[in-house]
Amino acid sequence: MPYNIIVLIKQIPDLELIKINKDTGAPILEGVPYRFENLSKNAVEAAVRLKEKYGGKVTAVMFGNEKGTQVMKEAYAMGVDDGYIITGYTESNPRFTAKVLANKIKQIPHDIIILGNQSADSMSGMLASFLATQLNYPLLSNALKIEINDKTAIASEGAEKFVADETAPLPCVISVTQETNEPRFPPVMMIMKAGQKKINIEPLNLPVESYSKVLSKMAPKSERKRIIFEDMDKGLPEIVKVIKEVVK
Amino acid sequence: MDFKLSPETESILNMVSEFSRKKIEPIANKIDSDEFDPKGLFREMGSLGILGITVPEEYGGANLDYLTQGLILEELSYYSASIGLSYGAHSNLVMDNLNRNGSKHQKERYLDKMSKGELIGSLCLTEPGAGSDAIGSMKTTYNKMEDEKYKINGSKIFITNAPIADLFLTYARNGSIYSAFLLERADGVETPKKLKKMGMRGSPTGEVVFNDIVVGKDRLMGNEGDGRRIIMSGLNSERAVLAFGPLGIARRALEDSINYSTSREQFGQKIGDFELIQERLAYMFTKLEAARLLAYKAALMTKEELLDPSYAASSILFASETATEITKHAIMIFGGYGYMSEYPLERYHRDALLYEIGAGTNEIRKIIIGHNIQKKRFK
Repeated sequence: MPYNIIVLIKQIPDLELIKINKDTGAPILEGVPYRFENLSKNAVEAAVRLKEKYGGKVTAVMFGNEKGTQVMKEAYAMGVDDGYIITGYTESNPRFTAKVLANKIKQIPHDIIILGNQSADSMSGMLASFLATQLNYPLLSNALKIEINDKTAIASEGAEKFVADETAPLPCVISVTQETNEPRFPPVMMIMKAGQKKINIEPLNLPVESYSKVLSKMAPKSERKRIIFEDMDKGLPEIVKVIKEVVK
Repeated sequence: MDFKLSPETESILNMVSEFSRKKIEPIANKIDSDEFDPKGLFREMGSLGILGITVPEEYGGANLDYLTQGLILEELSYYSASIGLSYGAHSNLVMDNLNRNGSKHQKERYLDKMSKGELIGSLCLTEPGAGSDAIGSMKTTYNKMEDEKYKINGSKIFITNAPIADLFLTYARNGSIYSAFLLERADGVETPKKLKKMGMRGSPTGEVVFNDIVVGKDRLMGNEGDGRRIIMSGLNSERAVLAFGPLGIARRALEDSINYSTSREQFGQKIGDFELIQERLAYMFTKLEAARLLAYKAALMTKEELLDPSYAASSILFASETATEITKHAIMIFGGYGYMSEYPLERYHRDALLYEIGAGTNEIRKIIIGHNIQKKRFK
């Protein structure tokens, strides 16, 4: 039975290229290119695999800005059929993001909504539950394996050493982890075809609401004492002493 | 003029880069030290659609240009020069050549499987006694037999991919007539020896022997007598595309050097703060960017209607010399660590030197350039 699947994706600054301001500890974001957020790729992979198994359609939705078109094209190249970018994203505000996304999701036919259990930049991990609440759908979180049986989703959820199978009636929200799958590398021909496909860009049509406020995002300070003991025999007891003090 | 690539090309390169980071980078040292067999990687590159990048879609390709092929080769070479070289031999030297000169039947027989990485290709030109004088001194012969069949005898040497290849695009002569043949391993082609090399150790190189190989007319590529033209045009696109190999090696050596210079401390400060290190870095960057510009231009100029061999020859001449210099500077920046096999710097240098020799030596490239620029100006 074919399903309408919605996958939520995100673009983030390339974390490997972010430098930290030495004096303030703030990340330097100017000039850092944006790329496909890691767990969003796992979500797309999960959605496309479901489509390949059961048939149907995958629609990607992103709350971001116009720069997100490259990421959306990469999602198309992985097998996403249709995509919406809602522009106007400014900062991490998961509850508002959930509201914006829920608003859009309601306009698109859907049976299953898939997203990453957190994102590699802000890592709040709150979006999936906020979204399920907004839509009043059940949430299957941290799914390692997803199967659909008629009108029921079955997810194997990883919790420490255990794996639990959980079910939920459709429509439902499913969050995935980086262990869920290995995202495919999009082949050249899919990339070429993705370049021709239309991306729907829509401005944010809700007033921005702030439910949470980011007070500070600074690199943790690690001040090394840089104590060097040159004499091995005298140094060892000194090091033991220092360690004992710290452990206290 | 801006140097922006199309979003599709950017996406293809992102994909190749991510693939290489996950699948090649972790084994890059092993590829060199264990003379790793890249056959499995060919299958993976096939499923990504990068092997047939310049051949039409009906043969599993993407119908893209030499610049894209070169950029893919650069990206692979950034992680492993050996894999880049084997890719170039298969994808450009054999597939692109076959696509330009082969019959419909030949393309159908080989190209789709080569796009998927199911068949690996190898181009056979150089012989033990025929290096730079590849055409004049060629000793591999063919004879036309009564029943329209051809018998090929001779041997080739320093052939990239030969030990793992299934298809051998081979040049042979009948007196002063040169022709190209598509020979399969099953026809009796032998590859007795895998050769030991200074660098490029993960790209298998070997000897190829043709002992009374008899094939039908369907294995002749183009017409009898087309060999000379096919060799020359093939070498031209080969040079334009392979020039991106040394670019990839040099880019890696420069990036590693920058990372090291900004982290290694001596005399209580980062070594990158010393002007003698900065001088090396500045020189490396400038040469690399110059080599890149020439490589882009030569790749875009390499089209049938614009054919001017001086561009492709100067591109790989400059890129290969640049990579040799840059990788040497990188070793010097790393000092003792640069000389150790535990670090990849000495590998970059060993790998880079190949490009001053393979695809026609730098001496031959200079002769081509010197000859052609005079012909153009004074004609």
